[in-house]
Amino acid sequence: MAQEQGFRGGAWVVPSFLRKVWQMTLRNLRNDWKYKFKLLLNSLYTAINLALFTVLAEVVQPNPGALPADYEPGGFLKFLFVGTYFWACFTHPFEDTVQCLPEETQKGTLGLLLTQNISIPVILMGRFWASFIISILLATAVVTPFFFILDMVANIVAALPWIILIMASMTLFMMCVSLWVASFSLLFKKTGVLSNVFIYGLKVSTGMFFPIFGLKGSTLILESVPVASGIDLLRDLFILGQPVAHGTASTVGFGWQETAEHWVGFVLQSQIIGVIALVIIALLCIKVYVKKAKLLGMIEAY
Amino acid sequence: MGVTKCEYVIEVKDLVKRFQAGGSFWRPKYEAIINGMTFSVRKGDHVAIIGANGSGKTTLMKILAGIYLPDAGTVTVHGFDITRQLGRVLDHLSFVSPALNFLKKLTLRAKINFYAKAQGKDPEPAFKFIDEFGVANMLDEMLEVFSEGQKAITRFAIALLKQPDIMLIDEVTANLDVLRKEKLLAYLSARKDRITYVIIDHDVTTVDRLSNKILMLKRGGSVLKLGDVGEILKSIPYRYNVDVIPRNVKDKQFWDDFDQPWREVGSHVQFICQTKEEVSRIGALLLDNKDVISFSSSGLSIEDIYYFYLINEDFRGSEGMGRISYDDAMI
Repeated sequence: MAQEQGFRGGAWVVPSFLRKVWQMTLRNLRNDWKYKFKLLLNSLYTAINLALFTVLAEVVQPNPGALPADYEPGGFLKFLFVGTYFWACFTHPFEDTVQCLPEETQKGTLGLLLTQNISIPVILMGRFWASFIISILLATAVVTPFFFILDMVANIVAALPWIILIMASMTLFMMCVSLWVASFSLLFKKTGVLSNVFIYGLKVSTGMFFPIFGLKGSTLILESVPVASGIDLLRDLFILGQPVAHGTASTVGFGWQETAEHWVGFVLQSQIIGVIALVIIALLCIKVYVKKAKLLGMIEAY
Repeated sequence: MGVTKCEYVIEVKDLVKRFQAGGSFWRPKYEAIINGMTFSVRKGDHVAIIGANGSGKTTLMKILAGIYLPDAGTVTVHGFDITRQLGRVLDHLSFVSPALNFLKKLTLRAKINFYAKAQGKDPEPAFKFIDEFGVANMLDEMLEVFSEGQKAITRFAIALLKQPDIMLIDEVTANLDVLRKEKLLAYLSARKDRITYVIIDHDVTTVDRLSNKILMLKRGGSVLKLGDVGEILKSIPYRYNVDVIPRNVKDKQFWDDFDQPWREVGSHVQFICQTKEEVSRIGALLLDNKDVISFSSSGLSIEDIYYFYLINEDFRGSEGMGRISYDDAMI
C-alpha cells in the first residue's frame, strides 16, 4: 500500500518542491549549454586566477605562524591554490543567482514561470544549482592537472568523504547567501554593486588572498563564516589529507585550543549554525520581498 | 487536489489595487487602478472583460493570476484565497498572455517537457495539441525562430498542460492567422463545459465565441456591469446598425442630414436604427449616394457593446459621438 502511494508512473514521487528545483536546474543547464563562449570564458577566468595567484605566492609570504608548518614546502602556493579552486566553484553560481531575476524579467520569462506555479525560491535555486554544476565541472577540469603537479591527489582520495561533506555544507551556505542577496533585486533594481560587495567580502573573509589566522584577534569572527572555516578545513584535507591544529591560544584568544580536534569541532559548529541561520534569513527575506514586490507591482518589472 | 465545493469559481470582493504614481521615496503618491471592484463568476460562466484603457483589465488579470497582490479586498478561486493559498489557486488556473515569454534558445520540445515535468504532468497532450495546430514540425526548433502565431500556440499548449479549469486569456488570438484562430476558438469552445474562460480581447469574434457574460469596467477600476450578453444587448437603445464607408471625410452636417442617429467608428460611420423600416429608409438614401463607397446593415452584436459603452466611455460629451447619448443606455 505504501509503495502504491509513493509510486506513480514508474517513478518515485519526489516532493513537488524538489522536483521543480531539479527541472529548473535542467532547464538552465540546457540553456547555458547554448552559450558555449560564456563557458569558455568562465574556464579562462579560473585558469587566469590560478596563474595570478601562483605569481602572488612567489613574491609574497605570510607572517610566521599564519599557516600550519605542515603545509610546507610550497605551503602558501597550495593554500592560495585550494582557495582559488573553491571560489572558482562558487563565484559564478553566486553572480548568476543574483542576476537571475533581473535577467528572467528582461527576457519576459518570469511571469510565465510564476503563473505556472514555479515560485521565486525554486527559480533561484534552479539557477544556483545549474551554475554550480557547470562551475564545479569546469573548475575541476582546469585544476586537476595541478593536483597531480602539486602531489595532492593521494590526500584528496584519502579525505574524500570529509571533503564531500564539508563541500556540501558550504554549498548550502553559498546557495542561501545567493538567494538572500538575490532577494534584494525583487525590490531594488540594478543590484550589481551589492553583489560585488558581498562576493568580495566573502572572498576576503575566507582567506582567498591571505591566511585568516594571521589576523589574530579578528580570526574567530571571520572563521565563524561557514564558507571561511570550511575552505580552511578543506585546505588541510587537500594539502595534508587530514585536519591539523590552527592558531594558538595566545594569538586567537577566547579559549582557543591548539589541537586538530578543537579545530574540526569549531568548523562543524560554524557550518551547522551558519547554514541554519542563513536558510532562515534567506527564506524570510524572499517571503517578505516577494509579498512587497507583488503589492508594489514590481515583481515582473525591471 | 480536489476542487472545493463553493458557489463561485471566482469571487472578487471590494478589490483595491494601487500603484505608485509619482511622489518621492518618503512620500509616494498612489493611484488606484482598481477601486472597490466586486463581482463573481459561477461555473458555466465565461466572462469577457471589456473596459476603456485604464479601467484595470490587465491589472485584474494579473491579480487573478497571482502576479500582483491586492492592496485591499479579497479574491478567491474555488474558495482558495489568492493571497494566502496561491499555490492551490495556480493548480486550477492558467494565464495566457503575449506578455509571458520563453527562453529563446530552448526548443519547443524542451520547453514543453520542462513545464510538464515541473508540474508532474504528462507532456503528451501538449504535443498532441501542437500537432493538431500544425506546429509539430517546429518541435526541435529553438523558440527564437518562432512567429508570434506559433508562440501563441505554444502558450496555449503550456497553459493546457496542467488541465486547468479556469483559463485567463489576454489578447492571444491577435497574432493567429484566420485558420488557426478559427481552429483554436473551436478547440476552446468544445471545452466550455470543463473550463471557465475569463478573456480580454478586442476581437469581437473571440469574445462572441468564448463568452456568455460581459464584465464591463469603468475607468478608475470599478464594475459598470456584469451580465449576460443578451441582457446587455437589450440595454442598448437600438436594434440595428448600418455601417457606411464614405468616399472621403464628411462634416457632421452631412450625416445629420440623414435624420438618423449616427456615430463615427474609425473611418466608418454607423447609423443606428430602432426598426427595420429605419434600416430600409437609410439604405434607400445611401444606395444612390455618390459619397458612399459601400454600406452594410446588421443586427446587434458584441461589437455594439464595445461601441456603445466603451466609445461612449471614452468620448462621452465629445462632438465625435454624433447624436448618440450615453444617457440613452438603460444600465
